[in-house]
Amino acid sequence: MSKLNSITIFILMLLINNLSWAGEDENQGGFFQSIFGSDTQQQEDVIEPNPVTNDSSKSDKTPLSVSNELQKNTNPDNTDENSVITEKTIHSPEKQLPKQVIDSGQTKSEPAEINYKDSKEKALAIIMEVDRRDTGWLDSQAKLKMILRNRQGNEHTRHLKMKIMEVQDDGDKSLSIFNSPKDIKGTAFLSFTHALDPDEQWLYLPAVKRVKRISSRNKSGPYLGSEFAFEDLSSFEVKKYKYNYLRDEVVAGIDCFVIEATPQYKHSGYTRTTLWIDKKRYIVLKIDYYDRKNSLLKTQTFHGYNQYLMQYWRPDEMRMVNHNNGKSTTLLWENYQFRKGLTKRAFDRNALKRAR
Amino acid sequence: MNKIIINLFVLVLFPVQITYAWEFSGYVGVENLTFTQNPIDNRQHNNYVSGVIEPEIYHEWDDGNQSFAFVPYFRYSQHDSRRTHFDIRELTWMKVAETWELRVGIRKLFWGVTESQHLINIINQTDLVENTDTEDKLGQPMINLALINDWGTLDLFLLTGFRERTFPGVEGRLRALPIDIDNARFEKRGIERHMAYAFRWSQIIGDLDLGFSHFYGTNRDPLFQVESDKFGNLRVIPYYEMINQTGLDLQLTKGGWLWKLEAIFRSSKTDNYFASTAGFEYTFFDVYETGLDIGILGEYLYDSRGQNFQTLFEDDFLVAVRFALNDVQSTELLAGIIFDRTSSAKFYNIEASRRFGDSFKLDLEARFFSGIPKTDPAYLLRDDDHVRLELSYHF
Repeated sequence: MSKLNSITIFILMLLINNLSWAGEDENQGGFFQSIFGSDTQQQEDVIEPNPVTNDSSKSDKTPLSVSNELQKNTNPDNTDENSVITEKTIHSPEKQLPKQVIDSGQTKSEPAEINYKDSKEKALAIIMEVDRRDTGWLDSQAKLKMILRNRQGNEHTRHLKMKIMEVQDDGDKSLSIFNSPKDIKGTAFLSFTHALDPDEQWLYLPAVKRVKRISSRNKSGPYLGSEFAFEDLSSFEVKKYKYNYLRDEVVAGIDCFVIEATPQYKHSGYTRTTLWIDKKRYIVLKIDYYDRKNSLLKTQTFHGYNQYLMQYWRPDEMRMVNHNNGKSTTLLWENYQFRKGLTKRAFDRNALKRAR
Repeated sequence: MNKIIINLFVLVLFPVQITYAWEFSGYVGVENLTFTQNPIDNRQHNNYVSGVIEPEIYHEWDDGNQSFAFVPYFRYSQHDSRRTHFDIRELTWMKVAETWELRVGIRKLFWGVTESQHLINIINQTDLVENTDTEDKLGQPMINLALINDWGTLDLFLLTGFRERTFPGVEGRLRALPIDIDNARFEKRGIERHMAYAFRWSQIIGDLDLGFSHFYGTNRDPLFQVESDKFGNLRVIPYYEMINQTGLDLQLTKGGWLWKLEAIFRSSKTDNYFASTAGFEYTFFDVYETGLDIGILGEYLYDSRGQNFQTLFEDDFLVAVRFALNDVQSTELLAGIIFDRTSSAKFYNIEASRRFGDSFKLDLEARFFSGIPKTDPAYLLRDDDHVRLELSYHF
């Protein structure tokens, strides 16, 4: 049992890491996911004896539709929703669910037995655990393929490379290097993120060899013409949002906490976001983004999580669907590397100019 | 260096391996340059077609801490033989360590923050035949050691080899009189004229990006000496003197505002003067949640030499607007006016670009001059309104 527990904790950590990665580079959702704390999770697991969950399986396609339905129901009629999910589910991770229940019961570190004052405290505890589990990876890098699809199904592809350095008690430092389209090859984007203070950002334009300090006020604008906004991809920091625990729910066969996160930083394009966090691994599986008019704008889902360094979870794939314009963007991650000894020198203006 | 030689050797002998060890990229393009008015000199033309290629060979090793880059450049232009030119934009070996970076070879680099002109950007010579906006530069041979510390980055430059400015030929535009580049004059001879020395210290202090630089060597901006030869024909001869130039650049980034300042003090045997560009750029991001960014730019250009043949911008304002659609095609447009407060001459500039597919890019530039009095040096450009269109393929 203890092994299982430790494994779940590791998984959660990985997920958290994944999130932070994504956030820094381009995937805010990733960071979000990682944010949610594991402590509450275990508690939740214990509390939630959903027989349905065992049957529930993960199917990548179902989460979106399911989630929408779920969102409409503010009142958590979990059973109905879960049952819907189970019907759609393809793979049944039967083992996982029982494990979770067992684990949660046994895990010691998890704040399962804490009585939370209210749903906000519980949400924050979950997020803190997500954050805690995704701490300590020091630095990470990965290659990224970005596929943009319009409503007609036409595709455009971009290739990028991301490097991220963890900064204690502050936002991460990240460097994004564009490799295609070829006319912007060598263009690089350096960002020092902060929780509530404005980020510091520089852009390098290789054709004129120019480094430009740019305004970091652009949170809601599209990143490289994609459906990801800058804020969706910046590093996750707990302080960036206020949280509220909404309910438990099964997504793609996985028991999740559903948490609402409200941006506290300025110039966000969202009134709120809803996060689905894996109770076992403390990683984000899905995010709904609500625009300034508080209507559902985008849904991001995370797929193919793998664990690195026995702890940190990172997804192979993220999908962002814009419900307004019918466009979507898929991010395919590969070649994740951690703890390569990157220092702040890999994230200064000199490095920006020679980034490849 | 041995490594470079070996790698070059490998490159020649085993081209198949290039795909693994070497990166090959670049672009080719075709350009049409149209002038909307008849030229002052009937040897000039109203339309010029040209082609350009700029490949890049890049290799890195030593875990990315050493690299080699080679970027040759060639443009072929109809009519203007001076604009048909070859250059090595880059041929550099670089070594990176934790507290320093060393670069040896031919390079291009950029200093500065403003948009209307780049006063402090003095290292590279302007490739004026390439584009009249002076943004294109010739490769500069150098040894550059950057010392990286908590108190900032200190770049030391030994610039080995002077490059003369390129000018349009007899059939080319824009020009007043053809510049007699074959008889260029220099204050210093031999190795002294070729050597220059420079340093730049740069640092980030919160919202402030700050730079301080000094340059000593042959001036990149020639003075022009007008003479008549024995047949009574006027000749314009570039004269390159030795200068000391101290430069300051800073940018304050606050919210959507960028506050910018560039200032130089330049001294030579013939003149001492001060020049500055100061201004702002404010951006409205994601306007009406369409992804569109709209930027407003304002800059003031000052030169203590006043109304003078050597400078166009001595008491001028720039007002410009920048649109970035942030769409899949990266569509952008910048439109601006520089007007001279003293002479009320106006200079209109429009630059736009858009990607087509994943590999093609279309660039449009239009420049118009109006209301230029005879007392303004820009009077020589009064009939040189032009539109430049370039389609390039990137690989």
